[in-house]
Amino acid sequence: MATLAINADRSEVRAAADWLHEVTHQHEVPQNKAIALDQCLDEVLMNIVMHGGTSATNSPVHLSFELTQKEAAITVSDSGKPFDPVNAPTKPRPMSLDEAEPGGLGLSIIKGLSNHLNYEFKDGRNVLTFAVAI
Amino acid sequence: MPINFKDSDSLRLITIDGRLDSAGSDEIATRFSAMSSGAKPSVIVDLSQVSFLSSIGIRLIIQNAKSLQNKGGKMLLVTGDNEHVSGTLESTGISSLVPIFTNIQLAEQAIAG
Repeated sequence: MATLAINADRSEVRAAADWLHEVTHQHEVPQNKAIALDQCLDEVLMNIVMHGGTSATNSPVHLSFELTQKEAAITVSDSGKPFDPVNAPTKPRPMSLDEAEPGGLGLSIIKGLSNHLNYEFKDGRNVLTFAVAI
Repeated sequence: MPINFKDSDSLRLITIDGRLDSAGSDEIATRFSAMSSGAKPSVIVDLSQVSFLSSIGIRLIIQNAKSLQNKGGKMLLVTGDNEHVSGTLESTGISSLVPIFTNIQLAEQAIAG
């Protein structure tokens, strides 16, 4: 298992992506699956940075990568406001450009790209695991 | 992160290259909105060289497409054979709001109508 800790800060999201590139390359995760994980991770971390509130910066965000025979999974744990993306409703698709409000797209991307999504609130932290089948 | 444009007649072609994640989107946001602010009524945005498209990048595209539409213009997107970008646009439903083409010629033909 590979791990990383970053601050819940917009400027550190790219560092998490670089870490993910390295571990997916090391573990020979297929390119299209690595991109899906990369994309989910960006959305999850940006959600924490933008919506996690002040408590999100109280302690580092922990990331871990785990590869099994069936899937490549990333677990993200943060001290921000409790938020369960698994049961959060996704926004209805806008029917016209006029109706389209920026925002709420990240959840659609995470749910659309991951094959497995698990959330729990444990010891005061959001613990979210997303995985892609390999 | 590179973003460039080229004008011809009533058309502007904007080309974006690189990683359109939060950092990349922040980097080009001001230039992108200036380039698509209505100098030409039709704007084609070529995303075929974008290696990564996040929701922040999609938001940026929607904002600029809307503001161009409010000025009477129209934005069209080109994805080439970039399945990552076209798949992401598809999964978020944006493909039904902003027309998407596989190459620049097809987008130009659509404008010429």
